[in-house]
Amino acid sequence: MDKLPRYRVEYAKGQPVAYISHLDLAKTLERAARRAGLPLALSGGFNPHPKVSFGSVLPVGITGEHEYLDVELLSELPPQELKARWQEKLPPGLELREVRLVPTNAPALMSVIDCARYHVRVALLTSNTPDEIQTAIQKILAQESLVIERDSKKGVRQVDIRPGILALAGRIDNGRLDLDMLLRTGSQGNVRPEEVIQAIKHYAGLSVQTEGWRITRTGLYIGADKLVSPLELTS
Amino acid sequence: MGGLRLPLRSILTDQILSKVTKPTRYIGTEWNTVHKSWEKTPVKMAFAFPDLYEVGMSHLGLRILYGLVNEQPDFLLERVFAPWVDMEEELRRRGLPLFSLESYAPLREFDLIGFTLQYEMSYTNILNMLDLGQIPLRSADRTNDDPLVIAGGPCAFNPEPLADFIDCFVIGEGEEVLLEILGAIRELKSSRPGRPDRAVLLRRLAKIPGVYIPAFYQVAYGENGQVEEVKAREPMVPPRVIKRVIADLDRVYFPTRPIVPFMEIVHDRIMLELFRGCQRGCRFCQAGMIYRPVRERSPEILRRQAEELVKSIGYEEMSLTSLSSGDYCAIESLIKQLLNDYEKDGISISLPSLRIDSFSVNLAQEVQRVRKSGLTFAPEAGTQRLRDVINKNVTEDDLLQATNAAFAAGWSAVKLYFMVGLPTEERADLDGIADIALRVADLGTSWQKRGHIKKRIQVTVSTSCFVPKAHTPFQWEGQDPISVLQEKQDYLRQKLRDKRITYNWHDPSLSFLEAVFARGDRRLGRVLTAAWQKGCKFDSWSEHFKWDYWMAAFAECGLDPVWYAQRRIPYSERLPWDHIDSGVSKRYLQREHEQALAGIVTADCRYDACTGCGVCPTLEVDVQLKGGGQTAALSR
Repeated sequence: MDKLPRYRVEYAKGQPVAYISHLDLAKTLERAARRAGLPLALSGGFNPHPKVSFGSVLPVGITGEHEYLDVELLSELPPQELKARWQEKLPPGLELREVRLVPTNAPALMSVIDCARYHVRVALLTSNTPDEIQTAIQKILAQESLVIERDSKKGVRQVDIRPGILALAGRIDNGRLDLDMLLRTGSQGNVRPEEVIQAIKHYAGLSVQTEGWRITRTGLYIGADKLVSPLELTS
Repeated sequence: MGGLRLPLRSILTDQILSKVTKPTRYIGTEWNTVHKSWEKTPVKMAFAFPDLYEVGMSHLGLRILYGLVNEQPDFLLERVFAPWVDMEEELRRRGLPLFSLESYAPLREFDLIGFTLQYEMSYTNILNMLDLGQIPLRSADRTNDDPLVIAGGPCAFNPEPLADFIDCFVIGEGEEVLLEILGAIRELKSSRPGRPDRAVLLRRLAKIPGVYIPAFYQVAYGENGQVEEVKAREPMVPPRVIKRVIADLDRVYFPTRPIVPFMEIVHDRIMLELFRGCQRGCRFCQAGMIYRPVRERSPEILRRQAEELVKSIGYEEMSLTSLSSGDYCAIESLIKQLLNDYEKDGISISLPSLRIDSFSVNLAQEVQRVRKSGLTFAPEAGTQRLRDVINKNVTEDDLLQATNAAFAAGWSAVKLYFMVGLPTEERADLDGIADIALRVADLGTSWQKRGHIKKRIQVTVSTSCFVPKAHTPFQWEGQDPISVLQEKQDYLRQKLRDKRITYNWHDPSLSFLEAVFARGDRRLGRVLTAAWQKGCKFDSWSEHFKWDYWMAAFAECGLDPVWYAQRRIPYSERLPWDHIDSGVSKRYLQREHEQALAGIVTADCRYDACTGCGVCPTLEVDVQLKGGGQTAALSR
């Protein structure tokens, strides 16, 4: 059974589907694959489901430009054909960017992806100069620890997110703050972009609007120093 | 006009969607949605479902009408559902109107708003949606600038409680009537710019068979508050509005490209409609009366529809729907064919409503070859005596045999549905419910001991409360007082204390209100308005049900809900819905009621002699059995 061809798919999740949950995204992709007549491999058991595994869960409301999933088929298809047939049956906002055949023994996406790049756009409530913004960012990066509050099922916890901020840059554009951030993700510690903004507010004193944030995940990588994408890993 | 549409979409995605629960309810770009040109389509209709997205999207009628209307070049149909309270708050806070999902068009920009009336406890949501849509609540207050508000569905068979708010009701199956209504609007719109003159439009619509316009009828009440007379005010309206019915289900439109929601909905599966109607004649069942006669769809057509649906939807489950799918003439061969066609794709088949007597465990096993789920049976009453009263022609042996076979085949969970408060019910009938549940559980345990079942045995007993419904033999019966229904539930709770049994029951106060509106008259419009003004909405959602507000609304309007729900109505009295004709004669309903009280059962006319309900001659249609094979009931 483990000889089934496995494909790695890079896709984008834009608007308005950014608001569908991870579970709904999985179902949407699966149903589109069925409409496309793709020969999906099914798991056994009482409740057979297609063998699709995802790289990293994208939180509801955040768009993703380079997201990844692996899918197993019963028979081999040219990656271009797989992409074209699947794409045709996807609702607006979901775009397949690239499909590659991967070795069947390749490690699971979830276990290798360890950092994520985000672009965040948020309105400033005060007028700041570009220099003030750079100072604020330097101040954040200079901190040894950045403790923020994180809601979890067990209640609010204090978490130090500084080790998870791998890079941070920002600029002002039309009264808005544009931030690029590289954050640790996955089992080795995960930082959310909203938490970085929380830290910027708290530690650097920038006053930002609390709603209408636009957050995009622009990439997922393996190895923060080399930034290898899961697709590059396969070649 | 139209200017609000684009800003609405961006306000929604940028500011609102991240703040509400389940934002997927409001996105509107699901697969197979139809986005027609707003400017170029002459007549625009919103299909309004007065409940949440996930409830409304599960409704087959919506799927049918959405496809049917959007296939016509001159008409468009877009969806609108009741927004959940968090979304409503965001809209009201910003002064934004309720909008359709496809074009994000404010409700009041449509020519026509069509509500579907599936259950009485959605009525306050209708008022709330009209208000959020910035449309005057009362039909009498609307002008030529307002949309026409229509309604159809099972509750339209007693339209009177909504008579103040709905301009025009469709009685019967909507597929044909709706296109006629839209056609009339198109014609009037082409003769003058803007919206048609309301008075002209209503007179025009009144000529369409199956259309009921409450403003054209005047109701007089008698000394005791009963309806005395319903008189046509205009010369062209019929004294009785007769139900519209599709004569041949093979020739009627059926959608093969329905919308595929992003989120999980209540019935998240392909729906294949096997037939309409049911003639088993359960005496409490409104659907069994108002959807007569039985009209089956041919197996060849069903297989073709299945094939198209699988291709256009991509669901993993297919449900064979109807009021009693096991009764379909060729059910066994159809299921085998469908399984052979789709098993390899991992698509499972389900039968949502199995009757015990048409049930064969072999069939259930076949059905569940791909995925196994629970089994549900509805004996409805606990003793043979009471089952004869309600004309539920199943025996305890049927049930025990079926559940025994199910356990033997490895099922561990069984659900049993009953009703409490049925006419003539006695303590012994409640004991009967408990006895049956325990006997079923014991059967399960014995198979467990033999090693056939590894899991814990689970018997779920659900009881709903009897509600007398219009157009049924029990329409004259009173409902038990709430306290009596509660006592009966308490009694059952005591008797069903067993760790293998889970007991669920319905809130009797909600069933009480359901009975009020099921048999209500026009005066209840005032109560609906008052209750809604106090904040009643989503009444069938227990976290929103506000009993005190309802009682205050009745008191304010000087109407007694007990009189409506619990009164036994004499045969001689005029019923508020007597001018609505389902094709089933009142004489037949009365005879069935008398037979019920005498404990005499009536056979199903498909296999026995005509029972004289009157529907075939009145509507000029016939029972149509197209399955070709024998029914399971016959082949037993």
